[in-house]
Amino acid sequence: MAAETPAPLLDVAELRVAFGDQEVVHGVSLRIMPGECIAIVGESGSGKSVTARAVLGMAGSTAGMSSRHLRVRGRELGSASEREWQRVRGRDAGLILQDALVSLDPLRPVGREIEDPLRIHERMPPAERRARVLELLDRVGMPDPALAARQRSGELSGGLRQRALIAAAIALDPPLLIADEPTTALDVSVQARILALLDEIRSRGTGLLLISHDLAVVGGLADRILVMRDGEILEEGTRDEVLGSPTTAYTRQLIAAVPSGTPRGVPLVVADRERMPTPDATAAAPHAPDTPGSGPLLRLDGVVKTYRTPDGASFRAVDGVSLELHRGETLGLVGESGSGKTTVARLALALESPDAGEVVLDGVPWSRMPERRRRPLRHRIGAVYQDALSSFDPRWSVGRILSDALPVGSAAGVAGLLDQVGLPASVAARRPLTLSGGQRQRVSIARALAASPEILICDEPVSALDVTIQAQILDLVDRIQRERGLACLFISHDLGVVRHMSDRVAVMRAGRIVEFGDAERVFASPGHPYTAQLVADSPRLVP
Amino acid sequence: MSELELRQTTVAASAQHLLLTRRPRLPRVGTLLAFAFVLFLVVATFAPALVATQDPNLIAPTEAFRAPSAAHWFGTDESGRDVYSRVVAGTGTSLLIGVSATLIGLVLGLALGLLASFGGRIFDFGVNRVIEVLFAFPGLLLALLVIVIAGPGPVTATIAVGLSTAPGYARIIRGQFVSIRSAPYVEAARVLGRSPARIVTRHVIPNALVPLFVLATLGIGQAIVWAAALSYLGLGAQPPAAEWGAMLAAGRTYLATAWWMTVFPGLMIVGTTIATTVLGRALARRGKDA
Repeated sequence: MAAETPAPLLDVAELRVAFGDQEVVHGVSLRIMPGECIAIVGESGSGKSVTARAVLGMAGSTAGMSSRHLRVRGRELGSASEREWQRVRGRDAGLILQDALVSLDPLRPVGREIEDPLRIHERMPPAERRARVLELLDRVGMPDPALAARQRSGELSGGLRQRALIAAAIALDPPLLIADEPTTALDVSVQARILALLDEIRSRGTGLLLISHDLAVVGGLADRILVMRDGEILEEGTRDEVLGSPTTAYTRQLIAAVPSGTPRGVPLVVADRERMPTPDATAAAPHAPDTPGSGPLLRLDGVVKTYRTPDGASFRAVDGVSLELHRGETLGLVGESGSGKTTVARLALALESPDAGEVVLDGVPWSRMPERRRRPLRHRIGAVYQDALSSFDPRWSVGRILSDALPVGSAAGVAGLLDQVGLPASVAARRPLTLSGGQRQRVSIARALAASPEILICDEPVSALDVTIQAQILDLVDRIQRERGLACLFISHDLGVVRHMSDRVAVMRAGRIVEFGDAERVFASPGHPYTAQLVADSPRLVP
Repeated sequence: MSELELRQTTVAASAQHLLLTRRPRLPRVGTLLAFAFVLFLVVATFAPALVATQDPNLIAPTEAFRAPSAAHWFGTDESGRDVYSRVVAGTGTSLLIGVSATLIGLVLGLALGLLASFGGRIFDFGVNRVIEVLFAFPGLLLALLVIVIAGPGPVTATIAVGLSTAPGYARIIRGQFVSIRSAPYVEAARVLGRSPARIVTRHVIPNALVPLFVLATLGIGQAIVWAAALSYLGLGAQPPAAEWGAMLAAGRTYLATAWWMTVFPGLMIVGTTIATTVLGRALARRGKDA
């Protein structure tokens, strides 16, 4: 076996998967060699996750599967029974899922979870098994393997949990590893470390099938990229072919949708780029001068916010933050989860009052005035939230949500708002629950605009959306910000997004602002080591 | 994590959307049966003459202790009264006690729940302690205590049952208000500059009421059982009156020879409880979909 050309680890030809009479994967073929990383990229609903599961016989009992052949390490498994599949999973192929919190049993220590494949597939004395678990946890870069093995999944951070899951997947050293969105929902620095770990595993000869909606994420790792849409492979090639000279319009659209590297003011949606040919150099750096004599529109002056943790200790979420938001500018606030970004937004919205320092809105002591006096001024600040759906009353239709937000609600006013965010007037009759994620976020933006605010605060408005939808929403926010001359506080953990959207940017870490300045300057030549680290960790398209 | 939740809701939403557009949900057979039974109870309450076969209090000593037959569907009692007609006549009393007891419980619970969730820390603490103390007693024991103080009779039995169900409602209502008050959409309304009064009336109460209505429907069954239990003990409606609990008590003596005197009123209590519960659950399912 060693003498011949190595057999592919996974060889699938014309895989079809159907749920009921609806086929969702239409004849996908792929082949993974040892030490090779194949990436499937596509938006939600493209069938990429179903494909990843189907090649391990895990598409679900309601799925109808057929293929010309489906071979794992040369063994035909096209019509394998569940028993046969069980022998393949774990031993021949490991699976890493997106969210480790639901993939790990919350009531069992992580070490036990990792032991499972060892207990099921190998006859190994318990002591040896435990030693192997520690070795695995060490290999995936767990800072304290002995401690982690005793902890439950809820006690670990998102990144460590994902590592634990990878440890379980590689416990038996399977030659093939399938990772479905392994870094989605993780911070950039954690994502960079997980990707590096996967790369290290691959370099030892493991074949890797990587699934993601983000081209930038797979760009650094994949040897070959398969672009998938509506259950079909649209384009396939080496990384350089697909990223460098894409042949289909859809791939070009996906590449354009990646915000990092696209200058401020250039639409991320390709179709809109032609309509707005060259970005106005002056518009790209407006730094809109405030009207003479007046200060910044919103000013945070040394604000501090401390929370009490359940065990009685206090936690300083925001630790002396000072910011100035000027008319007509977009100020980006970037940082990892837990850095205090959202608390800053809540302080700016006066949903929380600072323990020290103050927030000043256009010369008025915003954080100090009683709520009763603040209420009539609240229309000056609009807010767009990360989870649009939960920010709508579940009993209300889109029309009622918008007409309630308008100073004088009317059907015409609602239609006008919907039109501004690119939705047809017919959406007014629908409930937010029946809308797609992108549509919901558009309604959320329309609501924020209803009272004609001067300031727009966007807290992670696109982090739950696919890149292509994200591109549309970012373009929309950018257009509205320019058209209305809004001052926009744009919060995101995604450096690429913030860089694309902002005139100036503040980098936040552990409640403090570590760097502040012109967006291009900060990202091109970071002055603080933390910023430099963030920039280095951010996935980029261009190798 | 919130992203995952969002994705899950998106998936649930799209699945639900498919369900709504493709297959309109048909009521289940059980729900239809329950609905028919409740309809019968409503007719028996408001127009007993329509469904009864004779006067419930017509005494005919010669007809005493007849087993169920074509003439007397549910048989007759020791005085020759028609058990079926008495069961029908008792519907109004039994339902009235059940419904009003639930209403009393709900109104009290609503008041306590509102006080706890909007009255500030001190009220929240106080109301919660009172609820906990009341919870320490089994519900029926609490009702007995009330009757010991106020004396037996249908009115006091109703009040007693209502009082003893109030703590349960209060706790659930408080939980509802507290969770809705901190919901993101309530916060969004604050950002829009809405006053607390407007937020409570437009968002908090309407969203809390839907589950409350379901809860009340489920509660009626329990209230009827408790009211019947009190009557059975002779503390609610008194024997000559046609009330299901009282009929049970009256038939107890003849259980060995005339089983129909207790079985049929008993079946009515069981049937009513099941029917209202099934309807309550159907409502809860609909509430989730809407």
